Amino acid sequence: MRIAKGWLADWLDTTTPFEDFAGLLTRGGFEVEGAGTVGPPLAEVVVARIVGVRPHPNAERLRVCEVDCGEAEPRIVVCGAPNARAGIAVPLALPGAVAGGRVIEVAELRGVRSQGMLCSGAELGLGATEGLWELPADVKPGRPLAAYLGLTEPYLDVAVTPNRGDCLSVKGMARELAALCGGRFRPPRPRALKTRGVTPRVTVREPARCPRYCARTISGIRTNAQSPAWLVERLRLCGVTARHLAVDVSNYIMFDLGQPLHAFDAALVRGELVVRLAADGEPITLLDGSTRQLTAADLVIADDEGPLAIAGVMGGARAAVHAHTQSLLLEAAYFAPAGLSQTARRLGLPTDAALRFERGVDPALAGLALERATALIQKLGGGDASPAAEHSVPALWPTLPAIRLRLDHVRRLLGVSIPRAQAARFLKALGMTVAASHGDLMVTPPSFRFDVREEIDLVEELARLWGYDEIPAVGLAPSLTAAPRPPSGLRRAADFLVDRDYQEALCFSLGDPAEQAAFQDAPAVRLRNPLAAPWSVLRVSLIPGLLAAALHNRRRQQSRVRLFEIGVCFEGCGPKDGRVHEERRIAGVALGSTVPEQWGRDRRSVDFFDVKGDLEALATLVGRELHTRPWEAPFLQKGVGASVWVDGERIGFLGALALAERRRLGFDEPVFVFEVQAAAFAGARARPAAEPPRFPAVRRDLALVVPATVAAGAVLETARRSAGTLLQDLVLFDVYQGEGLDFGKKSLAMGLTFQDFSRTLTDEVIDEVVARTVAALSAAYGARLRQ
Amino acid sequence: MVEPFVEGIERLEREAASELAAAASVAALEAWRVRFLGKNGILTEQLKRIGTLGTDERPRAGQLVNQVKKRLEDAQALRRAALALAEEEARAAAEAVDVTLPGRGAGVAALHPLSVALRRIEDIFTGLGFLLADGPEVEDEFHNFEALNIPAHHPARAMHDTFYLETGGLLRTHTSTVQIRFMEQHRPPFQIIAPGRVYRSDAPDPTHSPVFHQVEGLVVGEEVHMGHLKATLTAFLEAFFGRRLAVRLRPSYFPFTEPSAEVDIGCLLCQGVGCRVCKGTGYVEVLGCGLVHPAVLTRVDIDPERYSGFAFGMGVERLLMLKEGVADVRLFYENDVRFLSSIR
Repeated sequence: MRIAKGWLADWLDTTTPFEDFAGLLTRGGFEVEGAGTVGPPLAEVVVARIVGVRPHPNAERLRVCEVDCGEAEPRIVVCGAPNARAGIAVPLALPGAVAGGRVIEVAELRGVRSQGMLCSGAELGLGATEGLWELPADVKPGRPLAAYLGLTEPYLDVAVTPNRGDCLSVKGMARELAALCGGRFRPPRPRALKTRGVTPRVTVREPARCPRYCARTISGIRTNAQSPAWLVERLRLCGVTARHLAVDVSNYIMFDLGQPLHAFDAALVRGELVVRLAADGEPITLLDGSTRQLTAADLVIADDEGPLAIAGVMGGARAAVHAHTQSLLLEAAYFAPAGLSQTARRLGLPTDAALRFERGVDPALAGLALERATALIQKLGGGDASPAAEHSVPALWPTLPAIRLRLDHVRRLLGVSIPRAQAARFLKALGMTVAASHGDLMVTPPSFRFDVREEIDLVEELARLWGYDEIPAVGLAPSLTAAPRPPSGLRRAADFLVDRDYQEALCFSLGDPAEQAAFQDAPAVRLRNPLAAPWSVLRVSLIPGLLAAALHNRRRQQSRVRLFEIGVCFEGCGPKDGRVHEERRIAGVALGSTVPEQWGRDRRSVDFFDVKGDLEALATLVGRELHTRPWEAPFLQKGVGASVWVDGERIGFLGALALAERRRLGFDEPVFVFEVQAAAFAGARARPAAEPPRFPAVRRDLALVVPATVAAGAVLETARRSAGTLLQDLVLFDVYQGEGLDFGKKSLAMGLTFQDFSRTLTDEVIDEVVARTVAALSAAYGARLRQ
Repeated sequence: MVEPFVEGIERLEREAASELAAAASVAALEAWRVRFLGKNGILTEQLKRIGTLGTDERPRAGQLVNQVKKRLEDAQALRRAALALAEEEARAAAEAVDVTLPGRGAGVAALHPLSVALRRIEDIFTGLGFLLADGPEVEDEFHNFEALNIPAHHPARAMHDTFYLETGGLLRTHTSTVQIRFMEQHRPPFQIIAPGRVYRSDAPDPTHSPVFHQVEGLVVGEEVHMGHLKATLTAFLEAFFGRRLAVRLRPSYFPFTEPSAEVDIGCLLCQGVGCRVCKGTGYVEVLGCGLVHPAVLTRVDIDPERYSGFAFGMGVERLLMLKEGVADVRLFYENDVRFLSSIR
C-alpha cells in the first residue's frame, strides 16, 4: 500500500512531519518497505504557453512555435504535433530534460534552431495523450510541471498484514496514523447528490454472501471525458494504469476509501441485476480475456443473459465499460469474506478487490463510496445520477462484539501497567467505543475492524500504541528441569564421521521420481503441486542427493570426495491410510584415495572394507556390533554389495555402485555408498562396566586353509562359537590365496586371545580349546591347518 | 732393581695414555681396556712381577702400579663417556628430518554450516533451560493450520505456499506444528525449542529455498509475559551473533500469536547507519514471535486464564547468512565442499 504525502493530507490533520511517519508506522506494525517520490523524473520540464505559430520554412509538417515559458523572451521551438496552436498551455522540455526517451538539446531542425521540445503526456511518461498535452489554460508559464502536477511529493510503501484489511486504503492509513501520532483524522464531508431517473432493479438472492448491495445508474456521461492528471498520478502510485474515467474513479475510490466498486456499461446490461450463485459449469469471459468455469460456490452478478461479473473478484467482458460508454451501472457492495476468498483462490484471481473483500471491507462503507464515486464521475464527466438501489440485511453484517477488557489481564500479558484512562484514549483513537464497567472497560470495535473480536485483540492494540519499545525486558525465572536427553543423540555419530574425513552434506528432501526409484523400491510419496519434476517426490533414500553432490564436486576438480548426510526419508504406506512413514537415516558416499594427497606414503583407492570399517567403528561408539551379509541390488556392483545388520536387525546396505550406474551418472572411478537407519546409532547401549582381567592372556595364531568360496565371516563366527567363553578376542590378520596353496583354496590367518577372569590358563586347557575349534572348522568347511 | 721397574711402569703409563687418546670408538676402547687393564693385561702382568722385587721395594712398587691402574681406569671412564656421547650424536644426526615437511594423515572434514548453526542455537537454548522437541515433517491441515488458528479460508494461508501430497497431508510450512504436537502431550510449565526442516513452494533464488530449516520456541507458564519474550530473544540473539546487539520488537501479525512481533537487530554490516543489507533502515529482520494466542492454548486444553506464554520461530539459513555474510541461500544445498568446509 503506497501512501503519498498530499493524498494523506486529504484525511489527516497533523503537525507531525511526513518524514516521521515511516518510524511511526514501523513501530505501529506497518512495515515500511520502501519510499520515493511520486511520478517520473521531470527535471527541466516546465509549463509553457504557445503565443504564436507559423509554418516551418523548409518542412511542410513542422511548425515553428513561439513559446512563453516565463522568461523575458519567448523561446522558439519546432514542433510537429497537429494540435499545436496559439493560446494553449503545454509541457515544455527545456535543454537537459529527458523526454521521449532522450535528453533534449538545442538543435537545428531543417535550418531552424529549436530551444526545447513541446511534449505529449506519453513522452513524459504521464499517460497516453495523443499530440501535445493540453494543460488547463490558466496555468502560470514557467512553473515546473512536476510542481504543477503535485509530483514532487514523497510517498511511503507500507506493508499491510492480512489482519488489517481496513488499512488497505488511504483513509485507513490516515486513521491509523492519527492514532499513532496523535493527529486528527478528518474525513472529507460528503456533498448531497441530486438524483433523477429510475432506480436500477436489483435482486439479491444470496443475502448471506452479499449482506449489502448498492447500485445506481449514471447516464449521459461525456465520452471524451478523461481522467485529470492528478487522478492518473494517484492511480499510478497505486500501480494502476488510467484507462477510462469511470473505471479510474472506481479504482481511485477503492484506494482512497477501501471500498471496491464495479462499473458496468448500463446499455449492455439486459434486464435486472441479480446477485446469485453460479450454476455448476457456467462459463464467464472476464475482463482479462480469460474464460472461466464457475461452480455453485461462486457468487456472481448476473443479468437476464447470464453472469456479468464474479462478485467482488473481477468483472466480465460482456458489459465492460469501453471508450464510448455513456451510461454506467455502478456497484458498491459488501461481500462476505469466506466464500469470496475461496472463489478468488480457486480461480487464481488475487485482484485488488478480492484482496480487500477477503480481508473484510467495512459494510457501512458501500453507500458512502457510491456517493463519492458518483460525485467525482459527475464532476469530471457530467451525467445524471439515478437514485441508488440499496439491498441491505444488517442482521447478516458481521456482529460487533462488546468486549470486556481487564487491565490487570493486560498487565499480566504485557508486563506493564497501562492506566485506565490512557487505555481508553488509545482505543477511542482507533475508532472503538469505550465504556467503564465494574473497574474494567467494555469496548466495541468499529465496523471496519474485522480483526478485533476478543480481549486479546485489544491487548495487542494497547501494546502497539503503548509501544513495544516501552515494554521492559525481564529474564525468565530459571527452570530447574534437567533435559532428559542430550541435545541430539546423533551428534556423536556426525562428529565421528567428520573425524573420519566425511564432509557433511545436506540435500533437499524433495527428489526426482526416477532417480529415487533407482535406489529404493519403496513407493515414493508424490507432491500434488511440485515446483518442478526433479523435486516432485519425497525422498525415499539419501543416496541420490549425495551422489549428485559428489558429482558436483567431482566435476570441480575434487578427485577425492567423501560425503555423509543424516536426514529423514519418507515412505508411503499405501494409498489406504495415506500415512507416511518418516525414518532418519545416515548415508555416505566415498570415492578417490583413502587419504588426501601427501608425500612419503603409498596411496590407494578407498575400498569396501575402508567404508565397512567406518561403519563398524560407528557401531562400536554406541556399544553395538555390526555385521554384513552378501546382498544384491540393481544399483550395487554384483559381489560388492552387502546388507548391514546390527543386533540381528537389518538396518541398511553398503557397497560399490554398479558399473552401469557409474556410467549413467558420470563417475569414472569406483564409488562406495552406504545407507543405514540412524536409530541404531542414536545412543550408547547401557552395559555394565567391565573390570580389566588380572590374569595374563594367551594368544594362539592359526592359519586355516579353506575353499576360496567359504565366507570369512562364517569361519570367524564358527571359530568364535566353538572356542567358547575363554576366547576374549579374535582377529583376522591375513587372507592369502596363490602360490603354495592349491587352486580354489585360501588361507585365513587368525589370532585367538584366550583369557580367564579367575585363573591363569594352562597350555593343556588352551590346546584343548584350539583343537576343538579346528575340528569344528574342519567339519563345517573342510578347513585344515596350513603347514 | 726397583728403578728399572719404575721406569718400565712409567713408560707403560705413557704408552697406554697415548693409545687411549687414539681409541676412536667404544670398540677400540674395549680392546685397549683388555690390553692394558684386562685380567691378562700388561698392567696385571706388571703387578705379578712385583714378587720378583726385594721385600722392602715391594710396597712402593705395588703402590705405584695401583696408582697407575687407577689413573688409567679413570681416564678410560672419561674417554668412554665422551665416545658414547659422540656416537649418540652421530646417530641422532643421521636420523635428523626436515621438520618443515608437511605432516601426514587423514584429512579433516567439517559439519555442514547449517548443522553448526543448529547446534549453536540448540546449545544456547538448552543452556537457558529449554528442552528439545520434534515432530513429523509430513503433517496434516490440523497441526499446520487449524490448531494454529489459521482456518481453511484465512488470508494468512496465502502467506504459506504449501506443498500438498498426493496421499493426502502436506509438508509442514513451519515448525510451529511442534507447538501443537508438544502441547497435546505435555502440561505447563515448559520451555522447548523444536528445530527441523520446513517446506514452502518457493522457487529457489538467492533468498528462497523450497526446503529450509527453522527453530521454533515455546514457553508456557503462569505469569509469562511480553517482557520475558524480549529478554529471552535478546539473550539468544546476542549469544548467537556473539556481540551486543540493538534488538527491536515491531508489531506484526501471525494468526497463532497475539500480540505478535517481528524481531529486528541492528544491521551487522553498517552498525545501524543504513546500507544495502538493511535497505537503509539500519535494522534487519531476524525472526517472528509473539504471545501464544489464547485460541491455540484452548485448542490443546490449556486454560489461557491461568497460563500464558510466548512462541517464536526463526529461519536458520537466514540467521546464518546474516552471521557469516552469505549472500545466496542456494549455496547451502549445492554441497560444494569448498563452501561447506569454510564455515566451522
